[in-house]
Amino acid sequence: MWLCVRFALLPLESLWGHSETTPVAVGEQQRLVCCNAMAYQKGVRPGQSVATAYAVADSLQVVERREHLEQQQLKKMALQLYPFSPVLTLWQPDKLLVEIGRSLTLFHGLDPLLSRIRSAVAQHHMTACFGLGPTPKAAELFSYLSLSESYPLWNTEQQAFDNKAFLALVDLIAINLLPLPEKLIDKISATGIKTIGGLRVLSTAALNKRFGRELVLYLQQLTGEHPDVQTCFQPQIEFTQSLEFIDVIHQREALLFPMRRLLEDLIYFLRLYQKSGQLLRWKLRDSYQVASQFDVHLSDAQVDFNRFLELTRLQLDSVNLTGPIEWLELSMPRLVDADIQEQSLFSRSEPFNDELHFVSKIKARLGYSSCLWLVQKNEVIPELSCSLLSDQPSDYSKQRQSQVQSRRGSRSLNVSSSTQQKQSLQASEQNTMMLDGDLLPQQKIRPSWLLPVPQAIGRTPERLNWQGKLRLVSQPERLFHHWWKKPVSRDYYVAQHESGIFYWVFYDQLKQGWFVQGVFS
Amino acid sequence: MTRLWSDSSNDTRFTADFFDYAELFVRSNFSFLTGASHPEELVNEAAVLGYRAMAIADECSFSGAVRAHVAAKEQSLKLIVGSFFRVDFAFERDMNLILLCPCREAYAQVSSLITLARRRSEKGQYKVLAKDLDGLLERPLVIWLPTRKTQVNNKQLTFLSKLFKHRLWIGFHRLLQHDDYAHYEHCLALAKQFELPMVAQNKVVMHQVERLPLQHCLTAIKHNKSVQSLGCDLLANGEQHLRSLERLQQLYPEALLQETMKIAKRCDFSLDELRYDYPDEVVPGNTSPIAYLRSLCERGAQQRWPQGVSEKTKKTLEKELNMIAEMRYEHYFLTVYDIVAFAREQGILCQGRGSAANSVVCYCLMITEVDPEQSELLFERFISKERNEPPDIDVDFEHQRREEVIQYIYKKYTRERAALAATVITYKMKSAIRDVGKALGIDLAVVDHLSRSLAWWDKPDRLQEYFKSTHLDAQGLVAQHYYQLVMSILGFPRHLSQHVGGFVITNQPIAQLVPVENASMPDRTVIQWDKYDIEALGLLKVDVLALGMLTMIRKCLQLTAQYSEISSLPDIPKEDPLTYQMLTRGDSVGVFQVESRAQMSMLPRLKPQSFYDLVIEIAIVRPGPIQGDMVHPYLRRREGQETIDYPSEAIKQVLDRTLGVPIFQEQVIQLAMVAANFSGGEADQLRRAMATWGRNGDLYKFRDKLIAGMLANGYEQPYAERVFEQMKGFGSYGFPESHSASFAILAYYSAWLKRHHSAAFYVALLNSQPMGFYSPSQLIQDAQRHGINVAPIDVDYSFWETHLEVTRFDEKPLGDKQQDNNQSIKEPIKAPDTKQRIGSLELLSEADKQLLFNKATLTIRLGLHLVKGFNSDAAYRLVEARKKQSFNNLQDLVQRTELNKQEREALTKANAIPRLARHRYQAQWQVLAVEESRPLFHDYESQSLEPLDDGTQLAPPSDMETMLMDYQTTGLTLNEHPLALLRTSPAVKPCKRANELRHMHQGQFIQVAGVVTCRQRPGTAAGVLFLTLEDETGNMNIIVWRHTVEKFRKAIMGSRLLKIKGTIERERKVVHVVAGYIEDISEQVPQFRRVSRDFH
Repeated sequence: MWLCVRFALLPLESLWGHSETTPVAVGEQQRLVCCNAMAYQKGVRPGQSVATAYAVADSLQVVERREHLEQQQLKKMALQLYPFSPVLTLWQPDKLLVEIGRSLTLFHGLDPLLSRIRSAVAQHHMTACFGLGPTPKAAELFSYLSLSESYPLWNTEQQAFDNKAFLALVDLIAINLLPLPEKLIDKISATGIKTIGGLRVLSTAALNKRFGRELVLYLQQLTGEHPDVQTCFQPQIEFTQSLEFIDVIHQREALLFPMRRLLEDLIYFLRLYQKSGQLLRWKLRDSYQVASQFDVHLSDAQVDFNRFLELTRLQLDSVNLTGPIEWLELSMPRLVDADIQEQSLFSRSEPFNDELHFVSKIKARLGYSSCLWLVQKNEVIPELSCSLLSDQPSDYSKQRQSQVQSRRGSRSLNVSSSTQQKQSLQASEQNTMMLDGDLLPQQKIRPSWLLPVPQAIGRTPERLNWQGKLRLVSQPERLFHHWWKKPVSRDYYVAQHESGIFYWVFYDQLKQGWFVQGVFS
Repeated sequence: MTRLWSDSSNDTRFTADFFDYAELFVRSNFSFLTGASHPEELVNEAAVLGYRAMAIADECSFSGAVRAHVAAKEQSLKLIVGSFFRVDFAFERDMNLILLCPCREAYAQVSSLITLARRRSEKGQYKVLAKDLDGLLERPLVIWLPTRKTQVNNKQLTFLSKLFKHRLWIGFHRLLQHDDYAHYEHCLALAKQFELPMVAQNKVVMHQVERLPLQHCLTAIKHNKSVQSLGCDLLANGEQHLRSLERLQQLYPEALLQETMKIAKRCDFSLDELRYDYPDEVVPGNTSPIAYLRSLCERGAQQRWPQGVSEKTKKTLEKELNMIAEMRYEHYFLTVYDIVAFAREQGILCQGRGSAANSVVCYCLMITEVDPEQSELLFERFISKERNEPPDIDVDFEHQRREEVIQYIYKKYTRERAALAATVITYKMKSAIRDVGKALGIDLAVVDHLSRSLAWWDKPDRLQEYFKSTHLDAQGLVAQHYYQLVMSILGFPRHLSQHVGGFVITNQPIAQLVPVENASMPDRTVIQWDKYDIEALGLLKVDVLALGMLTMIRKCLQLTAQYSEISSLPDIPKEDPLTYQMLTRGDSVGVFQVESRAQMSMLPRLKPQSFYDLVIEIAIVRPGPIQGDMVHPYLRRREGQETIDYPSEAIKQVLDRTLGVPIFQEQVIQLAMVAANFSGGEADQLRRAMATWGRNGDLYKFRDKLIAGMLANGYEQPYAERVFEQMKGFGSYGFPESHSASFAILAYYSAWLKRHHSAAFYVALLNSQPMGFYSPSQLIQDAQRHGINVAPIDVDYSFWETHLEVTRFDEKPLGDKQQDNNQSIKEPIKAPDTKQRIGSLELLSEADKQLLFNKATLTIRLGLHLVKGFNSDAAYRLVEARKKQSFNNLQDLVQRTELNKQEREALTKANAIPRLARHRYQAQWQVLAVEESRPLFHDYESQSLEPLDDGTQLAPPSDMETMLMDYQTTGLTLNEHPLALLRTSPAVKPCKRANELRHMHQGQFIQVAGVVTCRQRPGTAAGVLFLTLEDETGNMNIIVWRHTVEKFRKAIMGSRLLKIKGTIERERKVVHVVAGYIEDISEQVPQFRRVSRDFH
């Protein structure tokens, strides 16, 4: 018995959460993926171009889609539902399939179980649709219907699905709901077949010949005639262990004894599960119930008790303890398989200039979602000219090719943890002050570092001041752009600070003020 | 970094007092989707800014030059003609050159280069190779624009400085880009190295900086992307506009600015220098042009009037020939004569019209068919000294055979000397909404919806009102930009297309006069100027036009020739009473010029009884007579309800034939001549002023002269005022009698064919589509209402074109004809059960022909041309395969006919395989199982091919589905009409049918429903909209008054199915419904997509 939980607003809710008062939508490549109710009321619709959405609702806020956050959120919801069933599948991009048949007894029947699951979802302010079915594909399909349609299929007395009713419901479903390629759906429609029932009365061989194996297999898996093996979600293994002391510990040095014990347990755990990690997290609570914590970062992932202890001791020395300690906890987040750790990440024997290989290693080490791509965008406005992507840009290989050809191409790749998204990272400095006979049309004078937000510059009638005197040393470069949403009209200059540093400054024609935007290296 | 020149506005190194400047690189919006200003705007702005000269240098084009030339003359600004090129040097388009024309020879050389570059490329593209510059360009001045690559620049300058010694400059621009300084340094170094002068230019693409958003939009349209996605591919700022002299002073060193004037002073060429040479091969070597023309006319006159030419006609002929000789137009007439003679030799129907029909010369040369002795001609309408323009001779040819005529012209005069005039396709409201919307990134669905919400009569400034109906936030920034950009882009040229038939033929290579480029159609070339440019420069054009009705008549005669004595136009009897009876009933669907709804309503009132009545019928239902309030007086006088009085005998002479009411344009001009003493030329100028009435008010210039003249001749002031008001009514909509008479000839022929050979008439009409007012669906319904059997498309019987089949009604089988196994045909007129299909008309034996007149009838068999997605090649293969052997099963059909996937799907979806598959779903099911690979020796093995029918029984489509798919796949249905299927629905149940309306009385309340087939809103009808609704029994005429239009606008504009509550308005047999309440009932059949034909 499968329950499908479909998070219809996952792209939005993983980014923004609930907003009742502001029209908000999530966009990807200038097209909306989803929007909230307020935006919907104003005529905004998923699938619209961003420009259309702005044309419909001028006050709309569009945020850029972050698929890695959606995946994180989906995993988070999977963890929330994990207590209800160990058999749980992440069905990309926005569904969870939970095998709940074996959990019915534990949770005293279907209704209480469904109620608990609904509560768990609601607690996290996620919008979800539910579908119940005897197979994963049936549950997934029924999640597009109201739960009241699939719920009665379960016969509580017999603790089984009413197969006749199930097939009757399946047969009524229109074929355009099937998760199949649009061309295939059109092909089926051309024969006048409108429902799954219309397909199921036909012979498998005839269907196979006309519409291919994909359809036949889907139908068989839908009705349970063919097994549909799912890859189960495995929650990440983490080590967390604590000790509570009967007698509180007053001495900092005395803490090392229980710490040794916890570290021994950790080493045992890591060897047992062939795992490793780069972070030890210590939590402490004193007798006044004041909690504190400190992290011990490891430069590599070698499992070495003495090193763990030594680094912990060093770190402990700098921790400010406010009272006698009565409780201690050790955890190691983000565990990875130990064999990966055996080699150094920056091994010189590796082809280090192979960026894709490098990225693979980073992903393997830190996890998929912690590795992002910094991509230069075709934008005139400096602050919009780069963004972070969770996946390799589709035109990356082409980009690489042209970069290699140009020899002076900028690095479009950078690695950054998701918590350190520094938009200020500009790909590279491109100094075109000299005509060396091999210039690229698009190369412009751009600094290495852009400030996250342009900083206002003070101005006296004689000069510009920003943490000292600034002197303009270049001709103006004029930008007039983005008139369609937020007009930008600026004259850019290179300015030399009294300290000798070169800054990138601009005069904003609209705000009528001077700003510093970047620093040349 | 040091500053080479000042950027301060306080710089006063030299003042504007002695500062002359010429902008040498200006691209107008004729550099399509790059330039963001009209040539006129650029010229006017340059004049305002005090520029001394301006070079229009569109990219590989002279398209905008004439407009700029006309504007520059008005502004007394020196215009330099030039062009900009991206030349393939080391790589594709890596060398940028501006070529300027200092003299006529240079102009011819640049024009020839443009032609060379364009002719070797696809439409809209060009390719200039470095080697093209060598030898071809001996006179033009050249400005080279540096690239950003030093080595490339060195190579290019080494090459160019050899070719263009003393006429080569380095063009430098300063556009506030990041590398202006470095760029200048680099240019300076190159100038020293190659000893070349530097000159300032600004890469101008707009006259004012405010056009930058529009320029960005044009760039987005060009790349088929949105502005949001183009980023650095858009101009970074708006500096590429015409900047003030003060600003230029701040930006450029003085020497660079002064150099612009040095170049401008070397350019003396003006487009006024262009002279046209007529082709001389139309005149035999041993005679003069006028002598040859005279001999042709005399020979033609003998043919036209075998009994002898009247004195009056002789005099007119002489007058015309003298005028032609004086104006030196002989070559023009001889050229047209030559073309018409060719068409007649080839059996291509053709007929001259326009002002040419006022000419005895044209009649004698067989160019026109209207006998000048039987109509009142106005010579001044044809040629006038005052006008000093070539006469306008339009000749219509069969639209499906006009290409033969065009190719003849190309062959005779060669492509070097003959080319079609261009038509500049400009942005209209719908295209502007669409392209700007896409450029702004707005979804196509929204753009289309907005476009549909706007009626064709809406003024552009109402666009914002319709934003709301499309749920756009009208006050939002995006919507505001959208509106402003649409308004700006309206009238912008989008691309060049070919004129409908205007040929320019020259004696010398045409490329030396104007650049020639390829049209989108293969084997077509067009010049880069349109008819207005040609007119502005006084060049000559021959109009070779296409007319669908001529094709229809020829095809119909080919059919009738197979079973009757009617095989050519002279076989058609004149003044046939039965034909006029039919027209008097308003039964004129498909009849040339009198098939519109307004004409249909007029026919029962005017009751044409003779050819001249038809001439009047065609001219009277026009905005001129309607606006001038001439229709009702004419009808009343015709019926004897109103007395006819003339203020003078002279006026009686002019108006007698139209019962004292001016109906034709010639009459209005003649009135001015006889009543107000206008000379012939003045009268023609008056006609031209009428044509522009409402646009610039030129007509008022003649008001005083007309009224004073009439008063001086003794006419009353009110009468004179009334004549002037009538003139205003005519305006550009007035119809000349000669024109109407030409049309009336074809109207009569087509009416006669409809009356006496109906089945052939409809078949010919269907095979000549697109043409006329009516869709194939409406024509088929009209045929059915006339009792003609129509058989569906069927691979067993259909050919590519629709054809006639003979069906007899006795029990004795005839010949070896195939059995009709098609049980699914629903015939609107039930044929007797004993019907026996004989076969297609083309296969008739003499015996069968005899039977045809006794016991057989003609059936229209729809052709495969109606199947969307099918093609004539596949149809040919199908017919050939069928001739060998009928198809055993679907696999056999597919394999022997070698149908590809698209072709077989088209056939199955159109239900064109009824014998082999029970219905279209079943056919589709079988077709999906067709093996793609062809077996070897399939001809021999076709018998053994296994049927694809595996016994699966799919449910047949419902009647509604059948109807919908019929319309989707063929545009018509022979099954149930949509309204017949909706009769039982509550929305339609209370509605009357079209055939019931004639029994209803004046003022009776009524509800009707139907498919919207036509929406017409004549500009003269004070906002009244005429709707035509169609149901299963016929058409209904709906009148929607202006306030009702506004009230129910959304339903009217957006709906395909309407329900209307209103009252009956009838005038004798003509019944209308005046709409009071209009309801969109499209949701009854949401998938029904039938587009109405809309007319202005």
